[in-house]
Amino acid sequence: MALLQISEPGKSTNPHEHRLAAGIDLGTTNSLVATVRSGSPAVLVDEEGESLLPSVVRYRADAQPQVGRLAVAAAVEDPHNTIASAKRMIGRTTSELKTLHEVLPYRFDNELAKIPRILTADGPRSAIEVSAEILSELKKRAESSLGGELTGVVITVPAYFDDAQRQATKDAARLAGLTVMRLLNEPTAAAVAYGLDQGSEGKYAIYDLGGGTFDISILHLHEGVFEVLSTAGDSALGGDDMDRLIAEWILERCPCELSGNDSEATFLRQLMLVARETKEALTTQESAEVEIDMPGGEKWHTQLDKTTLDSIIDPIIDKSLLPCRRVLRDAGITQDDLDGVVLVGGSTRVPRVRERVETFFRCEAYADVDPDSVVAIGAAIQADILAGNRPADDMLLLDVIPLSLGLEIMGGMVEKIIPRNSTIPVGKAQEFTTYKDGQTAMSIHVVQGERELVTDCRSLARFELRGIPPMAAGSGRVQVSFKVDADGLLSVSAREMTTGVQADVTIKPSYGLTDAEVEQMLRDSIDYAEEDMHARMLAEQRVDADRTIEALVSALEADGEAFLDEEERDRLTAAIDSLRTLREGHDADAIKQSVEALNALSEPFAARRMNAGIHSALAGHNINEFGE
Amino acid sequence: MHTLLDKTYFDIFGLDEAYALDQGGLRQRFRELQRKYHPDNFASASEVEKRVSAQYAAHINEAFTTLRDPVLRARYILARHGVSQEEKSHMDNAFLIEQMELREQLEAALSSQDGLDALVTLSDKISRDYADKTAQLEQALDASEGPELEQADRLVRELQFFRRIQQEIEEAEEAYL
Repeated sequence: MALLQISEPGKSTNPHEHRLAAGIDLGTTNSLVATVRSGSPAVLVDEEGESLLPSVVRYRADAQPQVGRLAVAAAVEDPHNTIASAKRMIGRTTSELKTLHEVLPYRFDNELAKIPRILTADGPRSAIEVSAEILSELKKRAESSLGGELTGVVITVPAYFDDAQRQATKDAARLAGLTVMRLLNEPTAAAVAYGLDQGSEGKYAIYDLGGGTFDISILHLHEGVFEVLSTAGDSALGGDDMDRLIAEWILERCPCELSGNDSEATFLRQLMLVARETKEALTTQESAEVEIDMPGGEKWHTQLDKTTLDSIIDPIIDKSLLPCRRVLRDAGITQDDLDGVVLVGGSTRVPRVRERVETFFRCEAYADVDPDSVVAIGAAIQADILAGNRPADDMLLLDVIPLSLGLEIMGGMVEKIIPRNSTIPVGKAQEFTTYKDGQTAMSIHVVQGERELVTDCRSLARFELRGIPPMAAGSGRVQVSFKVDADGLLSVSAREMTTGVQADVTIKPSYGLTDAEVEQMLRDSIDYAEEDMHARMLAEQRVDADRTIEALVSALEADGEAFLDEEERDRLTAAIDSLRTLREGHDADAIKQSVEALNALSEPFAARRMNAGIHSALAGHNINEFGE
Repeated sequence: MHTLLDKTYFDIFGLDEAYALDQGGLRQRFRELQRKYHPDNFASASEVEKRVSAQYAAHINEAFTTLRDPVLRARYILARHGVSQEEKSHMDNAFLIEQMELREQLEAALSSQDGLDALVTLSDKISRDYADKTAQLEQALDASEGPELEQADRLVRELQFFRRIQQEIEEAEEAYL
């Protein structure tokens, strides 16, 4: 197996070199990191033997932020500086946060800011930075327990995350100094952990109810290929919402009046905590004692039984069943076609959830892998493959985009360019004509969502294509191209087609951070304040250069003679040598430019090798079937 | 250079160009091709190879999506014979009347007391009509003396109408959950 690998395109030339890779489940409530060691995946624990890292960060005035259990312990006494459930805020604007109907105990800065920031003792902090702190903590854990630097990670995101939320998650990883090999959808990761473990074949529903997000995916497992047929969900639905309803139930009964002022933040935080504990107690008990410290100092008691709890949380479960119906429809199947339903996420521990999911899908629910760690395990397996530690032939994940991508057209309507549940990567282009005489610019508004009106969809980006030569209305033709990569991330470009004049614009959706913003955040963050910024940038570019050189050298060794003439080989070798020299220097920009130049120069070689792949794929079949 | 990107969708999967299609075979070939070209195979390759592999994988996805769907597949075959969707063609009068009737039935179902039952009945009827039209479409496109383009174009438009109304019914059904 290892010998065969050497000539495979894109594989390391040294099959024995094991690269350190990890899978990270960046959760709303808890986060985990897992890796594959000696062929079997395992969750990594901290010094105290704990695998779950609470996704909570506490910022302090003159000290490093606290992450995890220490932060949780401080949450009640220091609610404004202790940020929990950042995942529910990531990639959202301030106004969107308000529509979540949450009582957030935080103070936000400028309401008009693109990215909302929470005012903390350590300055304003965005959800991206909070997530980066959590990722840094997991990176430290992984690197100390694996004894080396991570080559790359796979980070999981809810399948229903939109483009802005995915981009923001990737930005957080970059802030934490992690190389993201792939953003992987959580239900798909869970399916990997289950499927590979049990060698299952057939169609499965993955019902993933976490702390703050809900996903439902239908997957078809066949000979190691995990094909997502459809996915749906709600990126603001989860166990937190159950806790909130339970807290409201307690609040209705306890003899206290809330005025909504800041001093009650501690009380509210405590109430949420008690609500969660009560919910957890009722997974095994029939009835639980509720005890809270009233704002006045005295204690107050009540009882909550399981039947009442079920009726309190039923609306949350109802809300999750609507997307369940939609995924079946989108996959073109019914409950009878399913071979099982897999339960993922801590909130599926609630017996009522399991009961109602089994009833809805009319099949048995699997929950034998720990629902808290199954996603991280799946991510670790994928990371191991992407790092090149095991043959990619073992498994292939074919995922989809959860929400349609489109453009605003006349009258505030949306024209869908890529429909939801399209298998990624995917690219589509659409042509539009100018609608005014002498029109020299066209504004392009990219949106995501299923509704017909722009105002009901998520606005991802706006940009203008300028430089269209003046023409009669209808004769200027603008082609807008959408590309979604294997991470589910979108890039859009536009081009005027009729004349020789080209005006290309490639945009990154506006919720993603620009490189300059990431740099600024790095400068701002305490973690990196002592570090020389230049050194960090230089290190990043060197890693990039090494990767590029290594990949190209191994490709040249394998196929250089077959696909390139001597002159082409010499040119590439010279460019590699020049990058090698620059890499030893200290000019980060020069290295970056040299990498880009080398990439451009090697493009025809890459295309020829890829094309050759067709012939080897053909070799496995009857050549006549394919024709020429 | 003759690459996968230049091949017809049928050639990509090694299938004869015909409307009738072996769905199982298509899916099997699709998986085989993605095993080869999917960007996951190039995670540690150069940026260029990643980009090229994404382009191939996207093209294979597009070809698969088109061929497995009865309406998109028919559109693709028609386009290869120079019939584009944009050209306005005459809808059959009988079908226009049928459309109006279906719309009226949908509205009646939406406002009736036992709305859900009425919707299910209507949806079942449309599914049967849809299956009939698909069979007719196959006959028109795979006719031994060459495809009957005009008739096929008309049938595809009718199927597209059925799809839209079916979608409206499904959305209305969701409201009953």
